[in-house]
Amino acid sequence: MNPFKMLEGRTVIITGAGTGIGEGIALAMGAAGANVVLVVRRREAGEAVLAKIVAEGGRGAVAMADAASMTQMAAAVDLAVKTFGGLDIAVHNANNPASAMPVALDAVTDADWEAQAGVAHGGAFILAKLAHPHLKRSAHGCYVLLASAFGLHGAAMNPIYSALKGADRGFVKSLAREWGPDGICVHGVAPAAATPPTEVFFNQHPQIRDQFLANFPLGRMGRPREDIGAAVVALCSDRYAYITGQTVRMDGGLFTA
Amino acid sequence: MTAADAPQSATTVLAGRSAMVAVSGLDFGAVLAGGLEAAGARVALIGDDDAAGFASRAAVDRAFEAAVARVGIPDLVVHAAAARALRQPAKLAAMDEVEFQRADRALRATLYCLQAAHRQMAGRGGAIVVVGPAMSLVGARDFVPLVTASEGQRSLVKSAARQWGHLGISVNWLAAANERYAGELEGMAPEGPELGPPPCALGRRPGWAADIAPVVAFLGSAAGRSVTGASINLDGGDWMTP
Repeated sequence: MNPFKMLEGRTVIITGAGTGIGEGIALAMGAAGANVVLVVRRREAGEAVLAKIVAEGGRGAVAMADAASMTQMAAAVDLAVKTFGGLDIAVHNANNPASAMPVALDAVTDADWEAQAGVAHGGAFILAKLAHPHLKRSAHGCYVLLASAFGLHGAAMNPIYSALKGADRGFVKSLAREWGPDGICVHGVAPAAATPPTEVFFNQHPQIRDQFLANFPLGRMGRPREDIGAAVVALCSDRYAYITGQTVRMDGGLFTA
Repeated sequence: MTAADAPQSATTVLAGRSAMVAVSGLDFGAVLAGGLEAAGARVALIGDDDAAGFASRAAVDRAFEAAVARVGIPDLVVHAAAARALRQPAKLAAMDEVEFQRADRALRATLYCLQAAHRQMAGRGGAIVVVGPAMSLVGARDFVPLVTASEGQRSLVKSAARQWGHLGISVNWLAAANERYAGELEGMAPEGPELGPPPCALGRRPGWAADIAPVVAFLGSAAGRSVTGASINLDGGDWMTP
């Protein structure tokens, strides 16, 4: 077995795969030999990521879907199964862009809440429910939920995001216990990665960037593919098949409690 | 030494203070309220059944305003929310979206209660305590929505503590033993009821009036105001986490 092809022949579906951490995981999964089904809302974003995967000798497909829609996600999972003969790994990464914006808790409206919860919270459930029968049939079933350090320490910046990401930890812990007998590992991942929105923000506010990066023992934010994607590949490989129910921090040592 | 620094009797740490117990869908509100009264507080119990007021921000606000009329602006607000249906075991793969969204409704009930408490306390400070089940810390098979909601409530508490600390508002999360939180969770273990609960260090599960209410009262007292953002586990020593 090629040690660099840890996911050879397996099929993964990733929500929010068109940019940032989702793209990084998709590229790393493709390079590790997986068939990668990219769930995106803009086809051109998905096609661009797929082109990179194919250019490196990988395989994949693009599924247009809103991660918060049961109907659209059912079609995406169906595409994965029909195209590649099954589904081994499901990664829920999609988030509403508002999750990166500061919010005062006392001013949060129902609309604010729904915009983030529908994708983060509802999407986690929808993908899990749809993927379960296929992951159960796989000999390597993994469900990965992109959580956040915000859900660990309860960041002040965006209480909605913090609450939903804290909720993710409960989801992962409980689902791992529920699906363990089915041979499915359930992982939470709490990354701190430089993504296009954070780069834009930091370019506009270089002083904040310097202060923020000073909190990282490794002195930098993670790279979506090389740091986060590669670690998720390892987590879903046979090498870590005895880990489940954990929220794994991939944050350069930012949060160590 | 100021009056605020003076030692207080453990039984009257809330003397002269008002408290609200805002509990949705759970049965321990009255006994907890009684424990806080025993600590000297004027207490208003704001409760509802599964389908009533906590489902909307406006209804929560009305309930808080009515409680203020009874006991005054609260120095302490205790809150918990988990509908009965959320506490029934069920497999996630067999749920529909409506069933899973019960977790979101519980989270929103907590959001509304935190906001209502903030509106009352913003000018003078106070303490907020949110209560969850101990199973929140380790997860539980067949209770994905309940633990999802509870861990979300716990994280929301931390964010509130960070945003409102400068206003003199402390916000903490407290875990009660599963069966104290809700009777139907008695004997629940993370891997299911057939294995039974883990060994309990104290040999008993702390009760509301004698054990938990005094801790809540401490958090609502002057002596407890430096505690914020904490997760306090009162399960008798089951899990000892973190």
